[in-house]
Amino acid sequence: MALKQLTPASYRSDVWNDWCPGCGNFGIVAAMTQAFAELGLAPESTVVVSGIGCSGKTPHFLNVEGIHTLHGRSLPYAEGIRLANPNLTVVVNAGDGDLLGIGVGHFVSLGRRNIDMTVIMHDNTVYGLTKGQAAPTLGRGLQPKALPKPNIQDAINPIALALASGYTFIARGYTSRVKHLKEIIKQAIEHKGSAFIDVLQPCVTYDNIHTVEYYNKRVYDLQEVEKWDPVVKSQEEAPQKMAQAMLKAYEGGDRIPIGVFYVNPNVPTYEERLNERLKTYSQMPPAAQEIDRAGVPLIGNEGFERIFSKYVVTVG
Amino acid sequence: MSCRDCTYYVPHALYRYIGFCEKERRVVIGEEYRKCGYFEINPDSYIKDTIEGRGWIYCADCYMPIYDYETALKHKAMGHLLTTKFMFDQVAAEESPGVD
Amino acid sequence: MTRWPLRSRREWTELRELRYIIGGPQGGGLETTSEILSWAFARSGYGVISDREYFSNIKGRHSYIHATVSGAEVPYHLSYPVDVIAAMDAESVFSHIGDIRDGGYLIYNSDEGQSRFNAIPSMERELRDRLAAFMKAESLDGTLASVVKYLSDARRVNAIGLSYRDLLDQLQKKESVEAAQASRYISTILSGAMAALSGVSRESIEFSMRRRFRQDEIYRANMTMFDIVSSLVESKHGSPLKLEGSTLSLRKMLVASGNDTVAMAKAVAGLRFQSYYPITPAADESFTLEEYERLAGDGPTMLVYQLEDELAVINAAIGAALAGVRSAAATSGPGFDLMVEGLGWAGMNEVPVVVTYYQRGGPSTGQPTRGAQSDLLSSVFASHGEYPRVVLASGDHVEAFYDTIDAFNYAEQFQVPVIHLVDKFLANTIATFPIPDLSSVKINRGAVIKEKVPGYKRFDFTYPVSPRAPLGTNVMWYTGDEHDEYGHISEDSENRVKIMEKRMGKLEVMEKEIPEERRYSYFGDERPDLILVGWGFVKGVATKAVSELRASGKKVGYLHIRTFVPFPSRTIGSVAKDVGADRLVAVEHNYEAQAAVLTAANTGITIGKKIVKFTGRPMYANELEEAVMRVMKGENRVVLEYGA
Repeated sequence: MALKQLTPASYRSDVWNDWCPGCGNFGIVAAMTQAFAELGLAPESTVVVSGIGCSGKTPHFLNVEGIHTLHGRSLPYAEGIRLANPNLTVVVNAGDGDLLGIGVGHFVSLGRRNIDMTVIMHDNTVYGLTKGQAAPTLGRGLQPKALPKPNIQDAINPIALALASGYTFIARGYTSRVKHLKEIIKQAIEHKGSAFIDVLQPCVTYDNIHTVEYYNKRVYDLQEVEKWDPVVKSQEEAPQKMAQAMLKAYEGGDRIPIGVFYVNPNVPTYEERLNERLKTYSQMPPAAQEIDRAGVPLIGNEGFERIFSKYVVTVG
Repeated sequence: MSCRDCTYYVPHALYRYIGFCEKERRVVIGEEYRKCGYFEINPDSYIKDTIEGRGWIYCADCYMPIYDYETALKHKAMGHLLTTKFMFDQVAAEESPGVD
Repeated sequence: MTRWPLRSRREWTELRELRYIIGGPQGGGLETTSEILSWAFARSGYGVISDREYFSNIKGRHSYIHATVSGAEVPYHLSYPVDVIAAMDAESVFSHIGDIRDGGYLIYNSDEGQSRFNAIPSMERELRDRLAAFMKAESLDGTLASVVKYLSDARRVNAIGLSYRDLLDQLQKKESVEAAQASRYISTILSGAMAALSGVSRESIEFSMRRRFRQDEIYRANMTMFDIVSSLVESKHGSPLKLEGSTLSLRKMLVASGNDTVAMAKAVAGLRFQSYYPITPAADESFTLEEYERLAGDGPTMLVYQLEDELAVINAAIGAALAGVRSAAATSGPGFDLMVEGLGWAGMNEVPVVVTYYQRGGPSTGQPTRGAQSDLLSSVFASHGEYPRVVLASGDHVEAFYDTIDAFNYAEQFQVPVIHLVDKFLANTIATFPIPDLSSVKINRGAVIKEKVPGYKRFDFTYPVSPRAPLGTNVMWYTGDEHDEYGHISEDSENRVKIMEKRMGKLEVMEKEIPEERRYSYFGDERPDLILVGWGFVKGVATKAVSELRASGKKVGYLHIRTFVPFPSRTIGSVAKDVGADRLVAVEHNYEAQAAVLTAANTGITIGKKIVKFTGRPMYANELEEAVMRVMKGENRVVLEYGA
């Protein structure tokens, strides 16, 4: 088969996109497909996993392996897929409610593992598809129009939580700056380890506070404006870089930083840890293994008794 | 020329004939054209800049996002309204049920 | 009805079957004694079943092993009274006063003669109250010495008091005793005494000790302790409980717990991914898989993945299955409850995934370390909406082995989640059984596509079971929403009818492909007056009860249900017609008789007679036989409750 030149269009399906006209999510689809094309990812070895809600529909709009899962559970699905077949590029698209509400346990746990995959969080501060309730990223006292009363819970800081959890690539993007977001997605995919991108994404229907105008006024690029160096050169430097990124994560109000906050390439990935233990994991991951020869199990009578000799008793 | 060709025209997300004039801050009907003194046509670079900057532009006539310049130009040639911004809809929460 | 103490009339007339209890504080060496003895009896050619009863406690509460050894049959039943009680501590004697047969043997620590039952803090209040009433009735002063005297006088029990302190002292004079492994030597005191009484050869014990104690010094010191104790006991008491020579044809066998048996079967079945979260009594299976993760060491491996909760566990297992690998989760009730939503996703998306479900007492945390069969309805109905699944239930180690392999085959053949029901009884019971013959085992992966297919449709309507392509081969979509052939969301009515019919149509495929005779087994008379209907761990005790009752002239049978979806409706229907539905008796480890509920749902046949046990302890052959007699005399519901 002749190699077709992959363009962003190659990664889009023909399913009608039913997000609200003007939705911030279009920028995420645009950035992701541009990043996939520039990285030349094969559609059948690229897996986009999502949870529930508007962000959950993302895979249907893409022409790659698309797994639209349950509320909060996108990460475990993605982990199972990636560990079973580490030759796949796995990108999760999930909302703030998904990752930091119902699925926050999985969010924290992925950081401990540093599995090589990318998590793109659609951060719009509300639950869109159920009509605008407060998401875990909505600040206290705020009242987007669908809320009958102002929010009385505090917001989780996604960057800070990702840092504390152990993600080794942590960034923030903004849907209205597509090139910037695309570059971050590319870096995240190329990063070896768990990468997290908090994407500021205005919900045009239910959030009249965090609008495009709101963000346009406040957002600035860390790398461009502050020459921010996120990279941990050696593991000894990690606490200091992390503390610095943590401070930056809490910058808010009139100035909202976007860009790469923290990168630590010194932590072994889960795949590397597995290979250390299983020895053959890299060359022969689960999905690449045969389990039978023409319907006959690989383990026969002799092999069984050898492997499980501990349980075999011969009458003496 | 009508209001919907004007740069200050913000279309309604569902009813393409309704719009909002950002200058006069009032509802206008898209097909009409008033000599209002504000009328301005988007520059030729608008579509290109929008797609480059934001990655997409929305065709308010076809109800779909467009991600590349060539396709956007085709829609434009057919007289479609291309934009990223829609009228703020205060009653969405009353009209849209919870759906997930 | 008071269930305690039991006065027993069993006499040691035939040396065909030895029953024993070894009791001690949790964490005090019981596991070792159980293994040493099980292996040694197996080594001598006998069949063993050894159940472990324990509290939800790390250390200190009363725990015991209850075993049956036989050379006449491979035993799969437990019964009371027992011939020997070997006690590590005073509480073990107090807890089992009623369990020993008249004329049986008691091994106890003579240093603890003055221990009083009411000064043992780990004992539960209810038992203490029952003991108080017993002591009062028998005019005992509440000390261990008084109980031993009572057993010797009133029950002709041969009490063998050993000073465990002196024995350790003697050992220390000969060998260096490893402080960190002190409990090992108490284990060996009991193994030594048990071996002497039952005439197990020193060679068999050596064989066991070598397996158990890899460190040379530990092995040597324990053999020394064994020799000290066994010669002491044998010189005084001989070997009064020596079994007849074994007539079993087993020359080579597996001696394993249910957890380990399922793990071994998963390795054979080609499991490549298992996810889990620690829960009793399932977690040991995952530990064993992890121990053997490199299999033969020549390439293929099993990836065992511990996650943060069972929500993650099931969904990670599904993810791995989407990538084309044989994948499973092992859990118990509380964990299964968390998995239910994921299970529905697997049903909706036709994902072959296996859940090994170790039942324990519920609801809620229930009885974490006690057995039950009360999750049958939950397994059959779990998750909202309708989707096909397979539900298998294993009655013993051999069934568990082959059912595990079938579970994966069915999952892939029909592209459905498979729930494999086992339970705590099986999980923690060490049994002896023939080494499975793997030459008859087949791997069936169902319809799989590995090459790139233009326009691939994951849910192609042409088939009830559409060919399954692993992720990485073709672009495809999956969604928990109702979907079209491609896996894209569709809310269209016509599509909904089509895909529901395709998905639910797999029930018919399963109905055709899983033969009726695979769904049950039957033991007993061809024309019985009464048929016990049971499933799971009931099998061993029910078949024993049936054979005992038949030996005494009763015409009875046991119908053992092995699959609940699909259900053996035809068989139960014809049995009910031939024998009469009023002669069916449900025998189950739950309150409601859940299999009877499913029988009614599947066949319209009402099983009105029930023998149930829900104490968390297994049914014993003696109490089941008695219960069957009561049912024959007209009782409709018998609740069993024996066992400490």
